[in-house]
Amino acid sequence: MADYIKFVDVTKCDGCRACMVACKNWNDLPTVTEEYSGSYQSHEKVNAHTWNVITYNEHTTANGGFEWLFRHQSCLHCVEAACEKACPEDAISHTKFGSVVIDHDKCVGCGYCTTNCTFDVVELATYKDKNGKEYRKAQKCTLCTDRLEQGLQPACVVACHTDCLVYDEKETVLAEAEKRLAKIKERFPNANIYNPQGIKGTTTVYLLADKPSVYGLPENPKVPLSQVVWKDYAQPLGKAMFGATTMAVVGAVIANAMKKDKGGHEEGGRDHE
Amino acid sequence: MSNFLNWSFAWPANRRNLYNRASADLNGKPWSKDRIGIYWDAAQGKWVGNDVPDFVKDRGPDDPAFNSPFIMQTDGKGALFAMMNEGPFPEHYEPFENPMDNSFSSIQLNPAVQFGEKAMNAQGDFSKYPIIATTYRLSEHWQSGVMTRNVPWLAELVNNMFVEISEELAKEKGIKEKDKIIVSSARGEIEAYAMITKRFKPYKLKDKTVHHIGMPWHFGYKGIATGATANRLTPHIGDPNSHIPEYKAFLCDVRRA
Ligand code: SF4
Ligand code: SF4
Ligand code: SF4
Repeated sequence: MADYIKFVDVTKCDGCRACMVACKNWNDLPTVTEEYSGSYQSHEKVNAHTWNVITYNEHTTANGGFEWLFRHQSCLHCVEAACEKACPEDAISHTKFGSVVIDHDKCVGCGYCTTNCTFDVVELATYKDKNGKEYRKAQKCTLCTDRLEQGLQPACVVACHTDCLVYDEKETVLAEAEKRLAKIKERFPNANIYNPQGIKGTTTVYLLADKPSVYGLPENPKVPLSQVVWKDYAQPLGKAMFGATTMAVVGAVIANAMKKDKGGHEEGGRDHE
Repeated sequence: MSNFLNWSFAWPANRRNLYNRASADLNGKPWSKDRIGIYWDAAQGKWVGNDVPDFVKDRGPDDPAFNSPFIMQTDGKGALFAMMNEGPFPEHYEPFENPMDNSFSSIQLNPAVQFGEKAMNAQGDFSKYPIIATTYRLSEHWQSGVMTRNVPWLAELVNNMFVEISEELAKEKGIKEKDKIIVSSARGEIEAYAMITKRFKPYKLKDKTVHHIGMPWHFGYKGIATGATANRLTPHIGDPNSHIPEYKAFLCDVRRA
């Protein structure tokens, strides 16, 4: 199977938010109504029941011009995924579509993925079992893997009326993206294709109209070495020696330490300032 | 006038301009040297030129029907089709409430404008209501929002009534991000959140600096998402021809709640 990606050309987005409604509709997600934000933005960022959010940024350009920048924010489906490396239960994995999905039978709601995600786009949802006892599961955009398995495109892509969102063969999309980039450079001199190689690329690739930091994205994200070591060496070894539960406790300490050196958010800031 | 008669085909006779006989005067000569449609060639005794004649081909200036070129009208004469209530030609008039004099005409307001109930149509004066307001729709809601404000996923996206104001006006009035403000017009007042934005700017109108604000009119008092109704502020007058109400331009004032 050829590699497919979801591509987000933010310069085509008109902020209609059909993608947000389509996502909640397909995934049957409840509303999470936030306080009035002072702008058009409905949610400060994605949350456990809101897997994509359109951010609105009234941006003053370097030469004093004005651009109203929109971005469809959701999980990027990193090829080297920090959430997957952080998970002590092996609940997070890559599918054959390149999407990063969470197995809710394995997820124990520890929240390591939420603290370690490179883009801060996975959150814990709280549910109640039939005895009224609370439990938590990590939730985020699935790239609509359930739809992909049926030969359907992601729900947000189908809803998008401007072709800001497309899902297609990687080679084709990236070639088109280069052409589009050349075309918009005059208006957006800082435009770039965001497919960070420090994490070996992503399965949701952006064409951004300005520097990643303008959109609150890290310029050069990496998965910290400590985290790779934790996943690929310490965890298997530890589990063999001390059992899974002890390793989860050790993990909590390490995950918090790792959070500090996630790095890259230099000028980030809130998207909709 | 250039026509490309061999380029494609125009039904039914490959004629490119209807009534093209009218491109020549009563002697059959083109009105303008630069724009020759068809003309009467006396030597040949027929119409020639850049188009297929829309007239009997060999009928010249001596013919009694020569001065009736509009052959599909019963009298063969041209006519204006003008059904506008305020006169044959459209003209620029200013809105009911306005900071400016009409620069195009001595008549300020369209004389055929239709007024709704008197009580709803008090007229505000620029000295008391110095800010221009407009109302509009958003993609998340439809009309007065009775349906869309009851759809949870739409109510979640635009949950509050707001009024967009410029940074300059906010500064002048001491309004901060997320403050509640009161907008008043000669007809009523509403309370809503302020949305301070770079997308609204004061206008320089001749020697006056005039602020401009905008707000959606989707809100009402019942439903999942509720908020003040913008049409408490608007004048209820209708365009003489389309009856479309003038909700796009009126005068108001703004203060902190
Ligand atoms: S964006 Fe975050 S949640 Fe999504 S794959 Fe990357 S690290 Fe995991
Ligand atoms: S790909 Fe599916 S899950 Fe992800 S944001 Fe789009 S609709 Fe939601
Ligand atoms: S549906 Fe498309 S155009 Fe509309 S907000 Fe989403 S990405 Fe933008």
